[in-house]
Amino acid sequence: MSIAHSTATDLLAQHINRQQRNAIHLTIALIVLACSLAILSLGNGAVAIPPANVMKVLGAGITGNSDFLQSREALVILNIRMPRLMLGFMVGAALAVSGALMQGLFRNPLADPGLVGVSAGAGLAAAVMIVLGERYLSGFIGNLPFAALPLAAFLGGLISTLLLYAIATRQGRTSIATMLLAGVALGALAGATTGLLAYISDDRQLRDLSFWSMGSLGGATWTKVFAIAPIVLPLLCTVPLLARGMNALALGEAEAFHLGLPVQRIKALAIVLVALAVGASVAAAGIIGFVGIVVPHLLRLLIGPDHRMLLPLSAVAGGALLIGADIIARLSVAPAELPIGIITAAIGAPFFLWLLLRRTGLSE
Amino acid sequence: MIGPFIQADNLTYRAGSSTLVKGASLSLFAGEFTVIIGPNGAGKSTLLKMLTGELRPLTGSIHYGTACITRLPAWRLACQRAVMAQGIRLAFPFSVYEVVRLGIDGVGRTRVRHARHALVADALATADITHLAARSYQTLSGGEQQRVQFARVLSQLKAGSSVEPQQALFLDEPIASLDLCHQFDLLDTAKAQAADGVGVLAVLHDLNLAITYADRLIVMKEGMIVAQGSPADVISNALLKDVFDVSLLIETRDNMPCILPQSRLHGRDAARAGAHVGHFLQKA
Repeated sequence: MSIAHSTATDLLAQHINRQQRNAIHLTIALIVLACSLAILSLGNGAVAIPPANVMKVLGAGITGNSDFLQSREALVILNIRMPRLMLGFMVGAALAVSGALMQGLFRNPLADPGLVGVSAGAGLAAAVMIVLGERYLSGFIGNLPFAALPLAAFLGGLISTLLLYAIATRQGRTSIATMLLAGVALGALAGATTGLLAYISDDRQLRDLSFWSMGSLGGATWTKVFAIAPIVLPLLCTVPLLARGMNALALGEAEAFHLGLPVQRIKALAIVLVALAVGASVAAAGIIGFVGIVVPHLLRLLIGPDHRMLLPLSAVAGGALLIGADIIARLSVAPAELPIGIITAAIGAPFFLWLLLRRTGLSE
Repeated sequence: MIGPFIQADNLTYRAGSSTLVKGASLSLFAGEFTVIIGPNGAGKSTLLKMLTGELRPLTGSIHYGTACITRLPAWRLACQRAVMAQGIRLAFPFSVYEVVRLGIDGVGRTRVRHARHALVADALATADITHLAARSYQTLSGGEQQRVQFARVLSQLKAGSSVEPQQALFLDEPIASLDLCHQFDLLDTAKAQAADGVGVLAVLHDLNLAITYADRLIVMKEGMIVAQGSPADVISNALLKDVFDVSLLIETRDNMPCILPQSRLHGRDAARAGAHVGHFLQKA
């Protein structure tokens, strides 16, 4: 008995050590991957810049060597590619973390930020702005400012999420199931309205609409980076606070309450943070699908479902994935570029199917 | 004589148009093992959920010590009571070790790392699941999952004991899918917790186990508490006939009532079976 017991205890210790080792190795691997992709991304494009020069420019940027910063390579990197890299990383991180949070909140590994109405609302608002904006608004404010579209998308996503949240909340308790169902209904309604707008739009508007719905990092500027950073960074900083709550929610809402967690506050915080971060990402880069599903799933397979590791690593891996997808988008049909949403969907959809097959036990 | 740790007065709970619990009052004392029995749908689980704070009663009040339950924040409540519910399913493939660790993630997170590990390892050993620690919870059998949840609850109780001297343990049908040996193990552990001063409240269906382990029995029928007291005082033929609608043979062994299941056919079902046969013969 005591021998059997001590063997079991040894196995337990081994199990814990193995888990910790896996997590550390994966963290290092992901950070290295993200950094190499970043250097690759800064070096590739219309003007190819070798990695050594990229490092030199970055070094000069840090030390403030102003002579070198006036070179053409430095200008390309610091004014065009750097904001694009930053924007890509933030959007990828926000989408992946939001996906992991939504899956924890809905207790469903197939949930996605799109489910809480962010994408549908943002899509509808953007369509309204593209199709009707010029027709009705330009009379009041002249030419539409460049920021009108992202701003509309952001507000649309936020409003639809708050609406869903209000529908699903009765007497201070939010029913996650009601929210999911109402999200499907509102999503269909927004989709139909967007379709109607597409039907009445002219050729140029239709082109804008479809490009926006495929997502792109093409319009990245430092202004955009500084506009979405204050929205995305709070999500990434608050994530460690939500991790324990998400773990407990995996047992069920009642159990999370029994364990001593303020369940309502955790749910509200997660929903609002996700709505803000995804709304900002959609506004900055259009609709980019599947990052929120693919990244958390892959990480769960590698290090298990503990949100304390899953959430921060989702941020790094999501950022890396989007930087990588952006490199492919720029290089595959250079000098033109593919919408990045096509790349992520092309990677994400087959992966998602593979997950579904796994879930039904075909490969287990 | 110290007062009860948990005092519930005149609790009523309604879901839609049906009243699930009507005017239930009870006291839970430190160091006592209290068992609720009653037929399906009698309101046992609903009563338990109100006592844990999960459901808010329509009328009535619940006090933990001198504090009204509505004034206790979730973390404070979690230090004073642990709850094992029925059939918990996990959304993600957490390992058994991680599930048990959830018990102390809320209450015991201020402790240092190796102290937390010791708490979890202790609970795993008590529930006899150390050998399952690395397994995924979702791949376990129903009985094994129940033991994992029990270990989680034990670790929460242990972690909370350094914050709150008085604690309660709620178990909703904790032995429903366990084999005989582990049924006794679990109830023995719960009994030991009671001996340590914890107020234990369990919903059980096995009347003999309820009688054997309970210091106090609470009998529910149609949302109301119809009897409470020591098993020897409560269990009688008339009560079982009234509450469970069966006639059973009750013997007394070592001053405790003991219910013999094979005597059931002498009661209602024998009469009904006879009537059916008669009806069938008449038709033929």
